[in-house]
Amino acid sequence: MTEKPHPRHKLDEIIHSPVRLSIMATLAAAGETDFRFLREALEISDSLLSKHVSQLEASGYVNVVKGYVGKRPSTWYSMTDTGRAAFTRYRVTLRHILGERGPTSEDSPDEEIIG
Amino acid sequence: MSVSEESLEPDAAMARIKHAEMLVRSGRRWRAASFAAVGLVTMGYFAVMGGVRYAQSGLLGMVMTLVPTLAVVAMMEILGKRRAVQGRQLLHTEYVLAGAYAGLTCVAGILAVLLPHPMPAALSGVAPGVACFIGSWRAARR
Repeated sequence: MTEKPHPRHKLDEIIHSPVRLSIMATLAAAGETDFRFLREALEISDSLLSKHVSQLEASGYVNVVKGYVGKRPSTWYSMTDTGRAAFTRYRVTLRHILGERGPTSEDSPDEEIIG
Repeated sequence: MSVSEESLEPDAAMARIKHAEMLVRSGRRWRAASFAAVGLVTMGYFAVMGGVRYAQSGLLGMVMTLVPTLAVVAMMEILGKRRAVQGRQLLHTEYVLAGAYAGLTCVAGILAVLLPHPMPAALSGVAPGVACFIGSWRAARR
């Protein structure tokens, strides 16, 4: 008899880190946001934020756009479609682990991944 | 809630998601409220200004000219202390609205002095007020 693996194993490891989860949650709620807002919201250093955003970008979860506000350089982040789908799956799995109700209107109905 | 590199329990992960959502909502509400407050102050200012001019109150009239400036300074102070989400589209909209507000306030100020009746002078403040309410609506919208 084979037991089903615990749902925590289905948590996306790229998202399941305190900093990266906070970045993804903020971008999911905000849409597009700039570097300063993220840094101040997460209360972390520039380098730590850059490091984790780079990992998310490399995974195709976050889109990075560099530009200028007047003469001041600025960087904006937004979630890609892949990132949004991954974050939705992550939330569904999390709810399942916590024994909460199934997908809500925030989650796409076809994103249920728990078998 | 600052973040660290520690491992993450599921309930802590959910709390982190809810905290991020709350932070974004709160920043958005503050920004929207600040724009609305400046709009109300501006419209109230021009409404009173129309009457003050006809009361020939020189000193009060001079003090009144500072009101829109103080309203904008107060808004900048509030926004500086509580940062809100600033995507490129919203940033562009805010720049356009700030320019429109400055221009319309100048025009309204000139009209308030030139117009012969208190009511049109008071109504001249509606346009800059509306610019602020549009800003408030845009800031509140996702």
